[in-house]
Amino acid sequence: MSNIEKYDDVFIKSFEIDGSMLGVDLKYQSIPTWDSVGHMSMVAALEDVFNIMLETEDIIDFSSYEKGKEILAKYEVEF
Amino acid sequence: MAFLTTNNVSIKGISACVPAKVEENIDLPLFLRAGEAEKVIASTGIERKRILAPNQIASDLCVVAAEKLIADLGWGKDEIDILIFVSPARDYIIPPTSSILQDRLGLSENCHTLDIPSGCPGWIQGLNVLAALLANGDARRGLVLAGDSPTLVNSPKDKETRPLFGDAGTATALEYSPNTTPIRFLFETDGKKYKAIFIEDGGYRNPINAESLKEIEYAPNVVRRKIDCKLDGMEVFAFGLSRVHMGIVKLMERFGIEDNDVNYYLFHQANLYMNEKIRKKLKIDPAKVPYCLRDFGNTSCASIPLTVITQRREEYVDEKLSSVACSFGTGLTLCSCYFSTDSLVCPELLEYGS
Repeated sequence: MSNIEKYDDVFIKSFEIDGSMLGVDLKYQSIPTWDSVGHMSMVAALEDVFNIMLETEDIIDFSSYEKGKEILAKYEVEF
Repeated sequence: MAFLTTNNVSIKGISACVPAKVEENIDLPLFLRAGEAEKVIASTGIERKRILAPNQIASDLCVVAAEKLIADLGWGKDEIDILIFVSPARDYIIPPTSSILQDRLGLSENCHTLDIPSGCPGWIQGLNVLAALLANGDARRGLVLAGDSPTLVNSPKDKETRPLFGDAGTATALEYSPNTTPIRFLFETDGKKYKAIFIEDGGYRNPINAESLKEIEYAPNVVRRKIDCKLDGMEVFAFGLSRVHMGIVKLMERFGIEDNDVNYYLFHQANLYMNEKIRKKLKIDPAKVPYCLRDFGNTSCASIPLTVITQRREEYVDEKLSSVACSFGTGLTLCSCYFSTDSLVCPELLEYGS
């Protein structure tokens, strides 16, 4: 599985959404399941999948699907 | 930040009481999608909470905890000089609940009573105030009763708060003890974030009115009234992750406390993901960080003493221990403290109601 497939899979499973919803419009609180508790679940899943530990500011800045890709790039997760 | 030290005071005992009624998160009707409840439980670490039955309130739990602790300590009720009730869940707007508790517990009319209306950070705040009042020996013995009933102010239709919080009441006994190890404290407040944990109506700023009682749907399964508690999860999350570990680091650096000096780190039980992030940042051995989240949830100002009683009671009864405690939340406020104990009196966990 490629990194983008892993990344998408975390979003789909964490927020229980269809793959068609992945994109620029997918942001924190834009869907009911991406609330603060959902955010924790999603970040924890990304940390497991990519074997990384996000810094506090990155967890807080992780405000959208697209922003998340920029943040993960800092952890050498290439898309 | 405020660094404070209190000398000549030691903690003599801790007790805790929870309602008998259990609410399982897996059964909450707030989770409509298959697997959603399991995800919430996995990330928060909270499987169930104890919740008050109708007509029960936080001070009822504290009374049960206090009565048992006083009896097990063998203290005379006329020997208790100070009583502090720590809770945002007071019996009435007026008078202070501590006045009522002085009578309910049969304490002397010479007892000095105080309320501290604080939530999650409150146990350490109460500990500090009581220790300071006892420090010169004019008063010899006192109790901090820290308890809360968050399930009474969290909407049962709000999936952002209902799975997280449980009810509990505790009692902590302090005594004037010359030449004992000082208790060290750190306090910080970020008041501009006061709305992060917020009940909008019902105080003097926004008196309760007809609008206060109307249910508003903010999102699917996020339904509450203006008299219910609103939790800005991300704001609290950011505060917890960015400041709490430093609150412990600064306390330990200031007072020359090494990790080897500490037997247990007693964290406010916020949620497992956040607490584990804090623990990992501090590089603390997991065996030194007990949790009671799974069975009791976040019990506000009761969470630290409840953790002692439910997770390490025998150790605190049998051993001489040094502990770092850290609490954070409403305010937003951060508190940490370092204290030593020697063979605490700790009754087993008490249950209230049937």
